Amino acid sequence: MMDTAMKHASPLTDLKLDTHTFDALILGGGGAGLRSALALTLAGHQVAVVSKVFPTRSHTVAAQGGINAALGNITEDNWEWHMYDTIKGSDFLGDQDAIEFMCREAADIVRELEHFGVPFSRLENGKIYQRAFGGQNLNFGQEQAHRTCAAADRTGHAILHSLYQQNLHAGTRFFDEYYALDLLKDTHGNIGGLMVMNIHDGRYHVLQSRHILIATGGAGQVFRNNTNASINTGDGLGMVLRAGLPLQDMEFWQFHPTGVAGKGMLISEAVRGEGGVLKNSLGEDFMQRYAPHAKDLASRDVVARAIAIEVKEGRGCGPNKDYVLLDLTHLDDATIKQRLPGIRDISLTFLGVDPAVEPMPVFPTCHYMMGGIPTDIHGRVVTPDENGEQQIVKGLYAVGECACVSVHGANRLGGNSLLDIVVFGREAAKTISHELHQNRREKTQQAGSPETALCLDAVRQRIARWQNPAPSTDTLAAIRKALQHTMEMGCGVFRNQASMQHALQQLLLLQQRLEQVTLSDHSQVFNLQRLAAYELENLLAVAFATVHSALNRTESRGAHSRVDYPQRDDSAWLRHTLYFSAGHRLDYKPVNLHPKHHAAFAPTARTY
Amino acid sequence: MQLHRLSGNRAFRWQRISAFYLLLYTPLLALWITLTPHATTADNLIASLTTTWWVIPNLLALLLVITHAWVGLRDITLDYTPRQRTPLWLEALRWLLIAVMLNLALLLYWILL
Amino acid sequence: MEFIISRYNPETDTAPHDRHYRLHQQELDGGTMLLDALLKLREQDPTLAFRSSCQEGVCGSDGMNVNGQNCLSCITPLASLKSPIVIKPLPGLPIIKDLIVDMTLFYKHYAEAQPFLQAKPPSEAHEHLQTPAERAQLDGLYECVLCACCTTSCPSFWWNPDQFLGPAALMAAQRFVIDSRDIQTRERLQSLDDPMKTFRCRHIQNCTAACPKGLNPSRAIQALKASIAKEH
Repeated sequence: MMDTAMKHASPLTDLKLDTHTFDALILGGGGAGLRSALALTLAGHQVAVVSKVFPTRSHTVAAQGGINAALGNITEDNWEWHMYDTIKGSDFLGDQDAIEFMCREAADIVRELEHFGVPFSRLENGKIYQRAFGGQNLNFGQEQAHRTCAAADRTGHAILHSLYQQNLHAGTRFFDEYYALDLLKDTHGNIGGLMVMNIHDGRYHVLQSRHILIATGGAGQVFRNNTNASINTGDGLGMVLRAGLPLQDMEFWQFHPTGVAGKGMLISEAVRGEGGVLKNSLGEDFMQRYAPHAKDLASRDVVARAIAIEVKEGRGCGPNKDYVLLDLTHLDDATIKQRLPGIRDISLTFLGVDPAVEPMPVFPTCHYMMGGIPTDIHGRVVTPDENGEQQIVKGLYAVGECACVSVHGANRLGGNSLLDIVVFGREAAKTISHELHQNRREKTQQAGSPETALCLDAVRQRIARWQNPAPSTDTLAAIRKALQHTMEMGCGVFRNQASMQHALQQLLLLQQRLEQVTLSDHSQVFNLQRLAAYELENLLAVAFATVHSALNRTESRGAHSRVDYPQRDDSAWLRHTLYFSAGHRLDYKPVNLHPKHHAAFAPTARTY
Repeated sequence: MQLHRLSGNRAFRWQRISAFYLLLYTPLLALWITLTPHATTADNLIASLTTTWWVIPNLLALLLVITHAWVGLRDITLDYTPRQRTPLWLEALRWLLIAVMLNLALLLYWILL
Repeated sequence: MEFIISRYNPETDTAPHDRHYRLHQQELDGGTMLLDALLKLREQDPTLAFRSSCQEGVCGSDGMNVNGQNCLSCITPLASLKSPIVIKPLPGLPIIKDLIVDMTLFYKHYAEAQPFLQAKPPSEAHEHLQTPAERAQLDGLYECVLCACCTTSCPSFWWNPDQFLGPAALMAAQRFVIDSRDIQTRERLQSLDDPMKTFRCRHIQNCTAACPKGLNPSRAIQALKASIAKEH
């Protein structure tokens, strides 16, 4: 199977590719991956989790505010209200069957997390504490709801660690600090495995499986100011594009209203949920003007735009008038320490400001990718066939931020991402488990069918390309920086035709630079430069997907706000974008407006 | 002595009990000595400390000092000695303890009778 | 600013050696944390290896020994460090490359502490109830980010790294011993009643001094020992 070209191209790599076979492979050790892994391991399948970092370093750990579920622990609540809020929050782009499914599962899945050991904060009666969060209302848009279940302001940390702990208990197999390069297909074009590199020694391995779940999280690193970990480079998205599959709704990036100004660390929406108020340089609670009803707890896209407008119109604070203030000095010290200890830490560490005494400077910063790998509600990846019909890609699944089910549509509600990862993580595992059982039955019937060989040519070329020993003056770091700058300028909170066209031209130049640049380090052990090269390829692919998708959508919806097309246009654009990297082709598919248990919600004007 | 037979909690508890007792005993002893006017020679001191109602607390203190020291020495052995020799050292320590106890018994026999 | 960083590439070096770096304040683009400086230095020298991810002190990737103190580089202000800033990998674990250590042993001890809730069979319709006071018992324990700053600063761990579980794992054990929902308390305490696993802790307090999250593993181990003593 080894060809000689590879040998010449890679004198340093171990040519005897170790091959391991599993029932299912899970790519990514965040909340979505770990929830799936737990279910599959408990169901008795041979499953392995591949993660480029130790699982508890995954970015789920940084989620702060909480997870939404209509438990009704504080006020009466039901999943239909949650469903309505999510659909409205998504600016009606979310698929209503998927949103309904998620909201119906929510209460059950949060209780399950509690049973896994998540240390949720508690009410006096011993039930899970629920806080107010943006865009959450009772009774289809009436009073503010308390729906977001919280473990202080470290909910993501609590959930991720508990899931990892349960996986330890179950005995899940982990490939920690292995980097997945690409999906491998067999000669029939079916998904059959994964090419991975052990970061510890630079060796490549083939992991074979007929069921691969991508849970690689977001790609916030395409923007300069972001709340994301440096590992969030869209690795799963890149490999899906290279496999010839589309990405959906990549024009929708959530800019979190309250990142630490100039630095990007997240200041949770929980701060406003607990009573924090945004103020401009005039000391005015400006959200009253933008969202008279919900004020500071309007949807994130609304608040982010409001802040950007305040600053643009000269009412920003600070010497450069480039941020606004998030004020919670009117809250008492004990509440802050008990409910927002993590935020207090961040503020003290990065700003040197005690939030009980002084307000915190904040500005919108890239936070979440609403788009991703298109899937159905069972986590199965779908792609259109020649007739435009959505077909399931056999053996490939995606969940979490890297997937687009789509439950977040054009704008995600706070507290819905943790919900998304566990609900669909569990659901995808159920689907895989079901198929594995079925396959096992079929296999015994037709025993002895030979495994088809995997095609390795493309990924070998990709590996060989970075082994070019020629020196270069350009650096990966410089290209990455330029990419982030380009995206921030061209495709930020506000966009228009000109800014995006300019960004596109810049991206083409960056692509040329990326094709030319070579590595200066060719060592094998923890070669972080090589890793950065693979990651940058993915980031650039994500950037192209974003700009192309955004350029073509001539309306403003949710987080995609175009200065040149300020209105939402349901007649033309109530549909999902599909982007293919080959020829930067775009395709579209309708929004699902057919929930199973509740009447559909027709698009209406969205006010808070 | 086998490593797996060593106690964790028992040693910990005895160390704490002995420490607690010595914490009470030592100041009292010091006070007693200061307040005993004729304790100017070793003989006098020993005589005053072997009075009937001092014998038991003194003996107890002696035993507990040995216990406390034993746990401490054992811990140091576990921490510092090269792993393959640890059982040997612990064995030596045990014989040292037995020797000390025998010595003590002899001493008491000699003092009390 | 001057940096002295311990470098080790297993493919070319036989032992770690120090390398000097310089960086001007202006080059930092307003960055104030040690990690910002390290990322800048990596731009100059792409072979410089250290782990990093969230950059805000919650993922626990970037533990290292700086001027003799274990810390997370992303939440260590440069202003708090005396120049030259001497950076070494976390002590007491095998070095893989530069500032990256092999944490296998650390994770193994963590797993050995059985850090997972074992509660009564749950009812699907209800969460386990827990009063705010019972929940407050977990504060200061569950926030651990597994950065290993504590364990690798612990002399008891240096002496018996293969057997002593170390402060991080023992604090995780205590987190479940004290959790009102857990019903395996007795079994947990019995398995922890071991002179090597638990009672090597001499309360030297290096762990508490090192914890970048301000937790107090030493106190947690003290409480754990008290629970073990009470159990018998």
